[in-house]
Amino acid sequence: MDFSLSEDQRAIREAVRELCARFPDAYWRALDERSEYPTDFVKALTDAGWLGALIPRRYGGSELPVADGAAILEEINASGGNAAAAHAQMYTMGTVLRHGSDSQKERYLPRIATGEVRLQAFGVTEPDAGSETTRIKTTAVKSGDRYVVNGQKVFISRAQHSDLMLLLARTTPYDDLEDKTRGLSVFIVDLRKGVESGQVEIRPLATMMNHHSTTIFLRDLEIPERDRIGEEGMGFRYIIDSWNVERILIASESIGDGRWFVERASRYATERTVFGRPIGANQGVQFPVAQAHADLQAATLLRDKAAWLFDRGEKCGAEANMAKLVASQAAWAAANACIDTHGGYGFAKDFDVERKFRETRLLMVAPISNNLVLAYVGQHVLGMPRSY
Amino acid sequence: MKILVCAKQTPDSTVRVKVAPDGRSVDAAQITWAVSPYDEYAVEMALERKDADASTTVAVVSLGAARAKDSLRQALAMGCDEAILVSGPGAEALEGLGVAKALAAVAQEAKPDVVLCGRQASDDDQGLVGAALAEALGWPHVATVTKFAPADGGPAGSVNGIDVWKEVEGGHEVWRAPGPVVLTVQKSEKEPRYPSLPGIMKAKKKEIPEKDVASLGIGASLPKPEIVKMEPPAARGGGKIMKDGDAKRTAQELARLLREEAKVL
Repeated sequence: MDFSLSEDQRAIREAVRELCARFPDAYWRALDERSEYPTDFVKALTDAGWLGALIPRRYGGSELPVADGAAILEEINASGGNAAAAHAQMYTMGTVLRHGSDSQKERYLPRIATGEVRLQAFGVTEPDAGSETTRIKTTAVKSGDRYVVNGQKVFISRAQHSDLMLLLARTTPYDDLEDKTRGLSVFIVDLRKGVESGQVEIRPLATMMNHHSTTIFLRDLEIPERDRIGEEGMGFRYIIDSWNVERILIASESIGDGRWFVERASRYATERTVFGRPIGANQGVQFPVAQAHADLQAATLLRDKAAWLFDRGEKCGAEANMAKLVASQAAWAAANACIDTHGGYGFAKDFDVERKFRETRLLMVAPISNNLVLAYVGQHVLGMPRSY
Repeated sequence: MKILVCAKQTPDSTVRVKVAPDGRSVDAAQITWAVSPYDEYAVEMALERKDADASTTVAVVSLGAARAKDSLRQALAMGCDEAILVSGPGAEALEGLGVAKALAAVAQEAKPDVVLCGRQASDDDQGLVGAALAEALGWPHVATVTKFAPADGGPAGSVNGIDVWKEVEGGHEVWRAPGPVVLTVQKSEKEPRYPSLPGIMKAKKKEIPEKDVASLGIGASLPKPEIVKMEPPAARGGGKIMKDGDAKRTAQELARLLREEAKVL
């Protein structure tokens, strides 16, 4: 077993750190206060080729393994930034890559690789269908060589900062299905055109952190048949295929957050003196930080194993999901230890702890609730009865 | 145009450096290494020339420990065309004059039109190598450079002198030097670029040839000053908090302290 980083991996981490160093705490703090999108940061990432990392070389990307994509996002969050604004440009294209036609790949992937076209929104969840994806109600009705789509999507991230969106819509009524995982299809939607024609309406959805979430209304949206990805009715399978990569990458953002909290907490605990000695000399302060560090190291190993399995083309559903579970929990414990260590200053915006605290909390709930990960592990890994 | 950049690997400027137990060197554990900041400006300045004229080639040379290869790889990932490492026993211990002589041997072989050095290295702040290199080569030297470009005139592709922008008090001067020339760099027009992902992927395929410093014919008996002691800066003393609630009295007292104790007024 070899746990060492290759020269490439060190170079990648170092280069991402260097880029992130130009976007310090104050940059993210100011954006957070104004709920603004990190346009300059995303442009810098795009221009340096980081968001095309997973795209094959023949389409203009760098064809890196997921393990390296994970390192990129981990370093962004460990620097104090938030990769959520841009991570989807890295992996949403996977559905096009794995299930799209050659002409769809030729048409979209090279421009996604350069950043000329942003594909960083995926319209899946709806007001009445979150975790239970197969219950979505947005319909796509075939009419000649096009589909006409009606419905509403909610919690769709970055739609205002994306040119294209992948859309999951119902092409067969639920009641007509024997296999309830069928009947859904994936489409590529041109958001700019849709908004212009009034067939797509995007409304920002204010959230606890600066996350650029939206609600989307689709009214008689016309999608040409050539923009359907893969076979009609197979959309649910296609999106499940993209989940493992997403889990691994989100676990990596949690690990990055956790590293940031541990670093800040241990530094503050060493420097801050109360009752004549550094507060870190108290076990009540020191141990939660040390525990968080240990938990993060364990989560990192599980994340690395999941990425390793994925990159070898092996099954990794259990590892990818468990990595997301334990990484988000470890990051949350680190966040709490960091805020406790800082005392009142943990709540002061100038210290950035409260901002990262709000940001990392999301990862226990999205892109999948940790309870559903446990349900998956209980049922599919351990063979216990279905619990939901 | 052919440009040769001399880049020294020094402790990263964000690292808190500690004195080693021997009291005369830096504790190498926990140090991350990087291209010295002024040398990084020199790399950027060379690459700006390359951006302006694609026929420009940029080579980068580093002299020192084998680990300097990582920094060279970084310069390649930023966009340099080739890299040379001068290493081997004795390389790290060379003092400025010896470094300049070794680099002069490399420059004579590479035959660049312009050699760029940072104005000083961030570890020893000696500021010696660039000027000594020009002396060793017998080439002109211009210091505190912020920009350069080939002078107008002459047939395409030829280098008919180099125009050099220099920072001076209250403005800048433009000097013209015949090529080849050694320039020591103050700052580039833009902040040094970071390596791109395609740049990293391209750089990893490039060979970095190593030259043994012993093969460059530097005289062994160069006079050499030595570091005999290193001390960290004194710990900062506690501040003084003025607790008198009255603003006027506080201001008067502050003015008195600044004049009589701190002696800054």
